[in-house]
Amino acid sequence: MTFNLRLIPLLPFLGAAILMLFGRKWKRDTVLIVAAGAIAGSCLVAFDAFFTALPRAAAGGGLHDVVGTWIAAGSLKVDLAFRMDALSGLLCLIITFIGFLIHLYSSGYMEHDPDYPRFFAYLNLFCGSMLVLVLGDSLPVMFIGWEGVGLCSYLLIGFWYTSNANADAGKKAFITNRIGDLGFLIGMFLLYQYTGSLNIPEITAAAQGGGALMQPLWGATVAFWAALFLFVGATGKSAQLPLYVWLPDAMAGPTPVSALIHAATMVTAGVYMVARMHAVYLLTPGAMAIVAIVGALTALFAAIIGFAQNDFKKVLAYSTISQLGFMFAGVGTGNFDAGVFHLFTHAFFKAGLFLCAGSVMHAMGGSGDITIMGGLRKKVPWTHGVFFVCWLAICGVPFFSGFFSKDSIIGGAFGTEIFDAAINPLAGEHLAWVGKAVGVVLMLAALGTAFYMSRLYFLVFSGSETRASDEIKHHIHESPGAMVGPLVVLAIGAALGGFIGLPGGLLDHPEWNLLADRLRPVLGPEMEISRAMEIGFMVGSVVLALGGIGLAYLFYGGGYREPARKFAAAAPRFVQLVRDKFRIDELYGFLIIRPVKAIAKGIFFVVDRILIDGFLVGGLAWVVDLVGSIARWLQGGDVQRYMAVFAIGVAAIAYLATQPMHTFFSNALKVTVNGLTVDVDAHRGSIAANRVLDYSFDFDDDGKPEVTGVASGAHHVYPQPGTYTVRVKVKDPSWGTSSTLTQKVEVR
Amino acid sequence: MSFDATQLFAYAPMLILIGMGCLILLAETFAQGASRAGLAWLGIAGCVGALIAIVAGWAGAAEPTTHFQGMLVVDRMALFLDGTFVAAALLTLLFAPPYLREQGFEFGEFYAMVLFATAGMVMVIHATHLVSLLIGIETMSLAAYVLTGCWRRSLRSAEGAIKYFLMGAFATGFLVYGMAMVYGTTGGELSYAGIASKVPQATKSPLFYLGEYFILVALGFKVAAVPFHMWAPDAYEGAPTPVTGFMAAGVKAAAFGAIVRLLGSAFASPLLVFDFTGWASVLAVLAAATMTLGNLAAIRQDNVKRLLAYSSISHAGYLLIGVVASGLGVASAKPAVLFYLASYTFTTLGAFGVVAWIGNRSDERLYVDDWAGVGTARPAVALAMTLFLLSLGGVPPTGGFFGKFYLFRAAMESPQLHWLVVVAVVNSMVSVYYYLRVVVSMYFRDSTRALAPTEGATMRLGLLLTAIAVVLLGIFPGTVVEWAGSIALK
Repeated sequence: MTFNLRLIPLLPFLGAAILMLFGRKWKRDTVLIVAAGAIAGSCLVAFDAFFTALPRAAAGGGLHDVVGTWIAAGSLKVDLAFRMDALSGLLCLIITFIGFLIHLYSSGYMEHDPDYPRFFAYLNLFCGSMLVLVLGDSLPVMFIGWEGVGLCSYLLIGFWYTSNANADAGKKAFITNRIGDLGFLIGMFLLYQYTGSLNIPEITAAAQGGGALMQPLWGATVAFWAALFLFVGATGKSAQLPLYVWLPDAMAGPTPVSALIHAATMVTAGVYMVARMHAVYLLTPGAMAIVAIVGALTALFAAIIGFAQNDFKKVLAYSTISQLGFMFAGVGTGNFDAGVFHLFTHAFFKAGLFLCAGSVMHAMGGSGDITIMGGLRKKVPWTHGVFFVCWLAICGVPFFSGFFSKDSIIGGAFGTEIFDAAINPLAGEHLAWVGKAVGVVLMLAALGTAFYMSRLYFLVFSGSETRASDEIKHHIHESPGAMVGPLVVLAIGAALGGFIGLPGGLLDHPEWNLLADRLRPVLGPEMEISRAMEIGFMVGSVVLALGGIGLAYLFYGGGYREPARKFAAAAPRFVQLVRDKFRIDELYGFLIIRPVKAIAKGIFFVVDRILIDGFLVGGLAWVVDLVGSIARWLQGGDVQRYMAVFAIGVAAIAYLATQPMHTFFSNALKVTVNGLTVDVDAHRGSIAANRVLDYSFDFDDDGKPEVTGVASGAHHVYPQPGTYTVRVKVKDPSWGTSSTLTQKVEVR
Repeated sequence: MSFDATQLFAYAPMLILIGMGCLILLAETFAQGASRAGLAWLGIAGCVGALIAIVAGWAGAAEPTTHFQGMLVVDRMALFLDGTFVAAALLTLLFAPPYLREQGFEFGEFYAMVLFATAGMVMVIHATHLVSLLIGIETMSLAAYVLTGCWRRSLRSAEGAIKYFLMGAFATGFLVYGMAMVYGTTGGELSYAGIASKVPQATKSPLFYLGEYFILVALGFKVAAVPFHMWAPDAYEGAPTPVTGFMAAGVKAAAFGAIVRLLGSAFASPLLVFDFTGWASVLAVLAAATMTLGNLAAIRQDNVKRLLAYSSISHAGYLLIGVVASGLGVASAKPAVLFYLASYTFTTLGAFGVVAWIGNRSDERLYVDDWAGVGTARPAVALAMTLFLLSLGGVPPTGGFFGKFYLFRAAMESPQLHWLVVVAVVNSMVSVYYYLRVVVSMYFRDSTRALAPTEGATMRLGLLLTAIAVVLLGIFPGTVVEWAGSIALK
């Protein structure tokens, strides 16, 4: 079914273009109306498409919109086309709705920024790119969005570009992402080579057929490598091990950017991509195991780093990395709908948490240092309320949204049958442990999540005393309505969002799981696990969540408490190591960045200095000078000279045209020796054999041809062995010109 | 011989152009001073009318139909290029009025001449007979001579026009001589189909080859292929700038259209194409010489107009690669040539449009150094010029990139042409150097004197349209190639 899907990304793009061209001269309100209006319009169209048109579309195909042919090169044809099914539609709703809220919030947050129009132009540009990413009907269109959001992320991280640290953070994000993008491209090329298409539905169909992607390649299957390389792309964009290092630094950007790009939308693109390409992943349990294990390890690793961070946004950044790990663990164990469900709930509560961070920092005069906060509960009541709800959601306290989504991921990991060789013939025997191991790691990560988030909550909001200086304390105030309004909406989403994905199987009403119901045509049926297991995990995760919160309360309830101090004193080096993020950045610097720099320096010297500067630039200039002076002499302005050149040109063509064409094409004769018998062919080497030429073959070079005629080959038997010279004369009867070819032959 | 007037309907675009040209000439006698501005609008209306006629005829032209005893044909290729010519004329009529007013020679004849030249181009591309080809070429050329020399105040304009005319007459001599030889050796054939049918007998006589090459030389002169290019820098520099753009785009495209049609029908026989003496080899050598010489000469130019003139020569070289590839049987070569012509037309017109814009009556600002500071003073125009230059250099996301891409890819399909593609790629890299010189001057140097460009709403509109076209061709090349592709199959 066709639908005008192009409007969804087009409106934000138009907004961005208008703001970039004219925004500078406009009043702030006008800028806001254009920017928020564009995204609101896009949001309305997305809602209309998702709720009105999509249910009417045929199952599976969804809505489709072809703008035109984009690339047509031989067998490769890529349309600029968009497609909305339940999966991309859900993402569109998240992007446009949360995007709209964050536009509103930014109007308050960026109120005093001189670059207000530029900020909103980038924000619109980001939303447009993100929408292209999710709506793209083919991998190249998706890749435009993929690169577009990377660019916007770079621009917005370095938004306050006058500070070097911000610009460096932007560069770090961009370069790290480029490494991942290379993986994405290679995955794309592999899929194209073996399926002959870049169109996602066609690749999905090819994958479901199996054949093409199950061919062996480099010791595994094509599907394995394609899935793995695509996942490399995902680790860059979605900040997973080992490419997660850019995300914490990305917090240098304005906080609304962190909320929108680095929490709710862009960083989830990798998860979306894996879900989108699930048909390919399902062919290769090996690659899925890698996805799941990387996700689970990232979830735990980032959670541990989160224990010791003292910057409000840094804690949230590691939390985001950790939660993305959960999503990858979900899709990696085959629970695609659970991964997407967590993406959905995370978008609300993490955006809410970040915006609270912005609000708190706004109140604290721009500082994000949680060691000087405390007791803010009463001073910023609205922000506190929202943070409280989102905190319970991310910890997984029952009936808040994170509880349902996190639980379905953990339960799914234990219950998955993807890695069970007895049920899934594609899986090897050695993979059986993956599901359980991932589940255990995720449970630890969930405990960690509850701990560091509660630490954050207690240090910032609990207690009666704010640890900051009097001057800062004096200024603490609640944020304006434009900022609080969106916060409340997000809090409602964070609290109730889980109800779209109720564990229907457990409640004997499978249709209560609205999300899985909608996603089923796209992602296939959701996973079923036994009721006993499900209840067990539910109780277990509640215990973990409450345990984490309780432990944090012991350490930090109402401020730094005795156990926290004791622990830090007992293992100071460990605490310092965690606080330094396990010094991964330093490790990369030593292992990768330094060698690359050294190689670059060497290449610069050899290629740039010697080859290009010395040889090419110097040499080329000399050639240009020479030709230029000849041309200038000829081009003296004298018409007679022009005509002479013209006439010489005609003469040269006439000369070429009168050559017997034969000569040029076979510089050597084709000679076959067999005993005393010699076959000579003055063959033409070209298709136009029908122009008549006269040949005369002189086999013993005595001036008297042995064979003459129009045939280009001749046959001769020598009387005795020896070395002879064969001379063939070719005459063009229409021009009367001729040429001669000779070759020595040795007969024995 | 009967004459069926209904056949004329198929040539509505040409007739509209001629009719509107005559109307402008008549109206001109009554127009005085400022009311002359209306004449340009008459011309624009004529172009729009012709465009509508072309679009209306597109569906019916899926199958070629010949008219007037095989003198003219209507097919998709002709209509595609018609559209290009008329768009070129339309843009010229947008650029010219403010320029002519500023330079003080706004005469109605100018607009009429543009339309007549366009009508000639249309004739050239529809011709399937050497006589109709000759009529078309002469109609186009005579109008172009007049347009080159119409800037009476300027000595260089007169010089360029007289050189162009003398050399053009010389080239026409070759054309007519070549026709005579072909006529004689084929036993009285001048239509393309007739010549093609007589090739096997005709090649018995060497004069047929001479005739064939004389005709190609005359067309090579029109596209300014080396060594028949000597007129181009002088004529392009001397002509009023909007005319230069019109000539560099329209005249060249028309001649290329004629070459493609002629080589694809009359001289398509393998007897004539292949081997070292075949036209494919000769044109391959010309292609290499044309792009190399054009680029090397352009590097040395400080005068932007002359620089673009040499660049236009080098582009003829790239296009010849496509012509050769199509001769060697590469199916995708013809749509590639047509796409290149379309993208090149818009790019060149835009670039010369900016050159026309930047100067005024007392200060033409033609030197690269004069362009310093345009980037800060007039960012929109500088951006447009940068787009045009990048497109000429073949940098994405512009039409020029895909033009080169399709052309080179078509040539890569024929192993004999790999060397030519290497030469072409090296040439494109070299060309970026001198295109970027202008960009560097615009953005990275400080202005030496205040900018006082020739302003005009139509000029701005023209630049906007060309810039949009260049970008669209770079983003949606597939759509245009599909139009062009529907031609190639015929």
